Amino acid sequence: MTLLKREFIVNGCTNEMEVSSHETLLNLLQQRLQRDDINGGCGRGDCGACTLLLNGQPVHACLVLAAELTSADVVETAGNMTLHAGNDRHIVNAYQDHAPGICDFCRPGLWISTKALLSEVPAPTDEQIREMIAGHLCYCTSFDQLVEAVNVAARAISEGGT
Amino acid sequence: MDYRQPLTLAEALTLLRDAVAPVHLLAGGTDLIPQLRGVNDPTLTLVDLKHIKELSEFIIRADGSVVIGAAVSAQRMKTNRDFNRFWPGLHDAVAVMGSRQIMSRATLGGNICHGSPAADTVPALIAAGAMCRICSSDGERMVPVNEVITSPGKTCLRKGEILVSVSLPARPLRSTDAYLRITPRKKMDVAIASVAVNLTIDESLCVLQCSVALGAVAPVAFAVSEASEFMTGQRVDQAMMARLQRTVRQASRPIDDIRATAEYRTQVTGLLAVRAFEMAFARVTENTSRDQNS
Repeated sequence: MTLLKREFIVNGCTNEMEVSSHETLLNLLQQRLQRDDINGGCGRGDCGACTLLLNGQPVHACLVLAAELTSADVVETAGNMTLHAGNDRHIVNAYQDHAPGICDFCRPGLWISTKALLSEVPAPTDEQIREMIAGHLCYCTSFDQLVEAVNVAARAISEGGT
Repeated sequence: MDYRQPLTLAEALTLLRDAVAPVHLLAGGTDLIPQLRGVNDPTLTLVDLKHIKELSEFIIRADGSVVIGAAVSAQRMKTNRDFNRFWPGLHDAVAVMGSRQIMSRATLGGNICHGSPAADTVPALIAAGAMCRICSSDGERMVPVNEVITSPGKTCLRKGEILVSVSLPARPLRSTDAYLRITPRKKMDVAIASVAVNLTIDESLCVLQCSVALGAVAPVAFAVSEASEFMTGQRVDQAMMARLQRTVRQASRPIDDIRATAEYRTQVTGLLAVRAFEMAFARVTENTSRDQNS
């Protein structure tokens, strides 16, 4: 098995590891780095459970090979969003208050997709929010609650404050 | 499995030329990585093309001509305003390729080389008259995009060749395109029929040139040359639309499958063609009147 030396940043911490050529970023985060804020579902980019930010872009961790990472790559998972005040906290709070029924399996990916959407479109329309939700196979709660949570987060961010 | 990350096109082509075992080319990986799941063939080589300059270029010139590197992501194309202005139909095709996460990774080259009959960008590229630059260590060749996919999942790429970029021609005056598709579900689904129209009209609103291409209704996407022939030089009216609908339905060769019947696909393709034409015509007349008023 070929092992490759890789350096990359996860939630602000630099990691230097040897990765195998067929190992996905999802496997690396879950099994090697023991992260519990990312979930694996379908393994083919359908369910959205493993969504994270790679250099600010939302991606499926199951569709990225660990070998593809370089020292310039910055990975952010949902757990990081609970650690800080500010915009991330508004998203976390909005989901807690307006979509409380959402399970631990779907939540991390949806937080990340919401963060990506609001950084690109600060005041999204309901249609844009539903398009974002369509990237997640989540039937935990009503889609209306998810739309409401994203709208509340968008308003809280635009009004500022922590 | 061996993983290689060449930084230049020459390096990648040398790797491919010298390979003795199977090689997979990796760009976005949205199709390839699930296929490789569970495969741990030590002889296999994966060549990551994302760090090669020629495959990452996205050039839009003032005349509307475009060069898109094969590893340019769908999201990069979707968010480019000039690309949307010159090629709104192809832009619409790119925009429906998948979820936001898929858009971050999926590439134009991958969408072509995966060889799906229902690939969204392919009909729009065929209608646009796109040319593919294919390179090997022996040289390069330019191939019309409709000749690249030879059958479902198969391309004309030979051993040692890479699809480097796709070129779109300059935009003539009063010219635009449109792309429409039908999917069983509204979002995140594969087309059961798709139509792209690339249209140029003259000052009197007659058709100067019109290309119509169909996807998901034959083993590979294709251009309906009969439609282009009868529309050239004609005035746009109800009779033309009725004939376009008939011509497209006759040209369709769909199959029955779990997602739609052949009969439904045939019927809906004709309607889509008319709607796509009307959309392109509305866009081009709107652009023309805006240019005259400015």
